[in-house]
Amino acid sequence: MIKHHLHPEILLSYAAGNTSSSESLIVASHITVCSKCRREVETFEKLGGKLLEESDSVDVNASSLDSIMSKISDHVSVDNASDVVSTNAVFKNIPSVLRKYLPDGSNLTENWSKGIGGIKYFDIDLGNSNQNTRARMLSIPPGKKLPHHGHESQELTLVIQGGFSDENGSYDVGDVAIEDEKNIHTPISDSKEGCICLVVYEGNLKFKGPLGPILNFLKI
Amino acid sequence: MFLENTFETANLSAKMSYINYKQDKTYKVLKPAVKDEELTNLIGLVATKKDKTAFSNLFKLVGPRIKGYLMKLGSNDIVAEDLLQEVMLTVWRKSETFDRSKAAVSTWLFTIARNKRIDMLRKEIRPQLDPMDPMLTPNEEESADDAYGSKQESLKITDAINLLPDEQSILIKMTYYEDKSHSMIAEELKMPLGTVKSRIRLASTRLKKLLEGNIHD
Repeated sequence: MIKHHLHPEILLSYAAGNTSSSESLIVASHITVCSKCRREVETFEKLGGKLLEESDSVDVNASSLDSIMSKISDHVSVDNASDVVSTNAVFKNIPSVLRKYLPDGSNLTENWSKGIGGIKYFDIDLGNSNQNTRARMLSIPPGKKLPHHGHESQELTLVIQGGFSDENGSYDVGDVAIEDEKNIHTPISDSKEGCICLVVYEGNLKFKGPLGPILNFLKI
Repeated sequence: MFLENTFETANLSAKMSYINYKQDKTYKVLKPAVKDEELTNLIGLVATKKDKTAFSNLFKLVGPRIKGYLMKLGSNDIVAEDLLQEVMLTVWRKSETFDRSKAAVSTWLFTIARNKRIDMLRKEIRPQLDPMDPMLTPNEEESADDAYGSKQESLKITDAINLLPDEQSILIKMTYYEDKSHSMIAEELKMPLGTVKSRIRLASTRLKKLLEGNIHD
């Protein structure tokens, strides 16, 4: 049962189509496992449909119909290739929207980068966009306490495996933690399973040294 | 005194726009109600028989409105035509994924147009929900009230936006029509980002309640 949901304003932005790619990724992953938020998105998409329906009609160039009719004659059934994702069993608990961005391996984190204290991470490549939000996968070993830290801007964390808890409560698979400038917290990963999560955050990388990725994640 | 007058004027203009909107609406609501059934049937023919005549009729019925919508969002004529072709090609290819019990035709077309537009603008594929994902949790049972609510929805959606306070409805319109992110809206309206976010949160929470037929609480 999901306890921590996304805020309605980001669901609205996702439905309207103006979330950044990394925000879209975390929303799509969360609504795969959260029917409550998925239903909200569907409601906002209905609103979009209604606005489309009420848009003014603009004459369509007659050649467009000809062009499209010849295109559909060319290939009757295609277009399943893009939907093929890895069937590797290590991905079985990962929403398929997220799976396609992760590296293959004999275990989930095999090809992720190594940080300090057994933490591993993987920066998700969302294409050539110069948007100011980024997406990173993070794997934290069991029972690990992260230093007390704040955030310089909004950060969304979706639990993929295991979980963590902090001053605000406990977060299990599917839950989203929303941190902003005002929050300072001390998260501790689940004592048995640790925590694998997707983190989406605003801003540019600031630290470039060997500890950079962890420092950047913690924003210290 | 001055304040009172200003308030009266603002209130009056809000009332006027609501009246105009209501008159406008009688014409718009009746038409699509009939059309949705017709569009659903055409999509059904495309899905089951790959019927090109049905597809061509569908194109003629929805094309001009999709183009109008794309142009409203800032595409020029050439880009809008290109995008419209992409949208209709997807309609042809994915017609069998259209589920009339889940969504209205307009909603389905909106999501396709939205995705194609983003993919073209950003030159990348937008991460989006995979409706065939085995991980997908089942939908919660709809209560009798909700089921009634969703039947009423086609009448309520535009009402809902217009029932929001002006300061909120403008943000919703900027989100859908001008494709603006929260930070772009903040910059344009010279408002702190936090204010934009909290107003959109209020607006979307209220919208959600209005659309779900649950205005109380």
